[in-house]
Amino acid sequence: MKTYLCEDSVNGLFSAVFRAYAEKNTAARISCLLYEQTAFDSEFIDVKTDADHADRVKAAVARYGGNKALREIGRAMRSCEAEKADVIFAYIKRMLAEKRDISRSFAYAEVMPFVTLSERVQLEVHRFTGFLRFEEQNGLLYARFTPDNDIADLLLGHFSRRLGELPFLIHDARRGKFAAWDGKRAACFFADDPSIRPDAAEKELIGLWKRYFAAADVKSRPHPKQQDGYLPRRYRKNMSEFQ
Amino acid sequence: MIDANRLEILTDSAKYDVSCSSSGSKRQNVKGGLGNASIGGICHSFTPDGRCISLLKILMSNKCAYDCQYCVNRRSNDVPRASATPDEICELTAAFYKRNYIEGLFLSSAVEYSPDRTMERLLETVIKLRKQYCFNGYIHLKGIPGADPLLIERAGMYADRMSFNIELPSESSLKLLAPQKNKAAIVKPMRQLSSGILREKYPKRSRFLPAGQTTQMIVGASRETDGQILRLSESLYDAFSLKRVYFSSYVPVNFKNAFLPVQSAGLLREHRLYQADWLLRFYGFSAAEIVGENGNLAEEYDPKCAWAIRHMEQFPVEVNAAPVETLVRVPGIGIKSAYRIREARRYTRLTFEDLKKMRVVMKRARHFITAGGKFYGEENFGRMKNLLAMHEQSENAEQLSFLKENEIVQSVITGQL
Repeated sequence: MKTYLCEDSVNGLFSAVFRAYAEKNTAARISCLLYEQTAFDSEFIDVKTDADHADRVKAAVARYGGNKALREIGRAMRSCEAEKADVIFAYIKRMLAEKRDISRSFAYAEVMPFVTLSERVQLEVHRFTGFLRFEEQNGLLYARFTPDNDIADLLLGHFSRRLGELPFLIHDARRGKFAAWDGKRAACFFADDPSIRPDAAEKELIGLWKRYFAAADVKSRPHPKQQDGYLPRRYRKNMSEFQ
Repeated sequence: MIDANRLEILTDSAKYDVSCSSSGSKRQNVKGGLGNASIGGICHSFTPDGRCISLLKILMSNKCAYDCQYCVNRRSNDVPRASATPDEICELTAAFYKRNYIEGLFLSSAVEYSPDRTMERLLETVIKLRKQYCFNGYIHLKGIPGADPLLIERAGMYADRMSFNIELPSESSLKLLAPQKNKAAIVKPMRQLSSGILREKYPKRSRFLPAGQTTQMIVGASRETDGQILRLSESLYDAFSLKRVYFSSYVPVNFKNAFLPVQSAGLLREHRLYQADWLLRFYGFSAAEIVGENGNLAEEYDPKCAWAIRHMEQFPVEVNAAPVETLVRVPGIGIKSAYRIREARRYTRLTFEDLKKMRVVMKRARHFITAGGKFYGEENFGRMKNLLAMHEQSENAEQLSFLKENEIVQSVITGQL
């Protein structure tokens, strides 16, 4: 089986889709993993991202699925799932074969896996609108987190509307990615860990929050499984109330 | 800034109020302001008791003039007492909000001196927070029964949501356990808020309580049946356009009163009531349909399943033909699945396998549906009931405690428990 290896981006994926169609290899797989583990008779084809090719696939997707399909694909590509490129490829193939929007055809085998990818990313964005923790340092609000999916910049809109003129920096420590807001403009970049630590005043406030968190618990009704279900343990390492 | 000891006392005194939702308002930030509200609400943390922290839930004071027997803050109870100033509350709310600890403020108070004086302090805090601190996050304000209607009306202009607690499901229980409160004093301001909310539906830019009003009643402190509780909830939804009725399972905080139970009503009863409440609000059920013959909800099945077992003459329904209103009455099929089925069957005739692919939970549903004319459930009624009870038992701990990821999204958005 042939596997097209592409860059981990929407344009990378679309370039691989173009190539698969151009070479009449639509039964092939697409992967954006650097190290792909497959059957021993697999043939790997490296695909360089090509903006023109990507645009042609993008236009075809937009023709049948509209901007909504492009948005959903963009969101699904932020997933950390290893199979994401293949799942999206299957969805695109079915859409192009049916020549219509298939997003509501939930009984199709290609639809629910794709919807799930996108929903999981959306769920994590929603969770971090609540679970992200800022620490104030010289007027800057700094939040470090380690999301499963690549969502740092998806949080910018929510927090910029909310915090208004207050500058903030969201740091995805897993990817070395930063989403920044200076009170007027947003930016996204990659950089080293800035090692920002809370000062004494901030530590005092964190202490108050921890006291509040402890006091709000009804100790005679422990329900740790429910807590774990709503707030997975992997998210807690950057939440001050659990330190 | 408030000190940690008082914060702890005032939080400890507020935590038995179960309302935690921050949904229903889309208040926007303004230039130079802090915060906005998210229409679906946002949970910011979860305590070890499994409850969400969305709002800074705190009392202004726990020095209460009343002596309600079920309440931890009753005058005769020997607990540490404290109060906070409006500035302390505002400062703390803004500091916590900036750090994304909370979605807003849930402010309540024990009745200190008089209802009017208490309500004035609450109102002063909320106005200060909105005007001086330019805070546009969510505010849920508890109303104090017996306070002047003008104070209550004014509070409604600044808060996103207000609530007056029904406390106990009947007037006789109220007389027995909270003699200083009476039904008329609680219902009157609820009616007032309701007329305010409805009147404000006409102007385009509604500012009066955009997230409406809610109430709470304590379950298990008095002897009312689930049926009485649900009928009361139903009439409250009808009469006062409430957004939500919360049920708080009584946590024993008073072992000296012979009328109060020494044990909690338990999570399962509370859970069943919330499931039933959900059926009332979104699934088109009436209280009379939900409650069984003995006036209580079944423990062994969820309320929808129990209803379906009592009405097997209405099943099975064909998933390719049944309207959404019928599909949502099938045990195991929720609102989201029903709409997915409706969409999917436009393009293909659905089979049992298709439903599984669509992640419709078939464990219960298969006994109540046909797909393409085929029935995959258990035909023997007795065996089917046993199977359903077994599923329920195995899922109970999980359901009470551990909702699946997609259900969490729904839950977070809709406030469903």
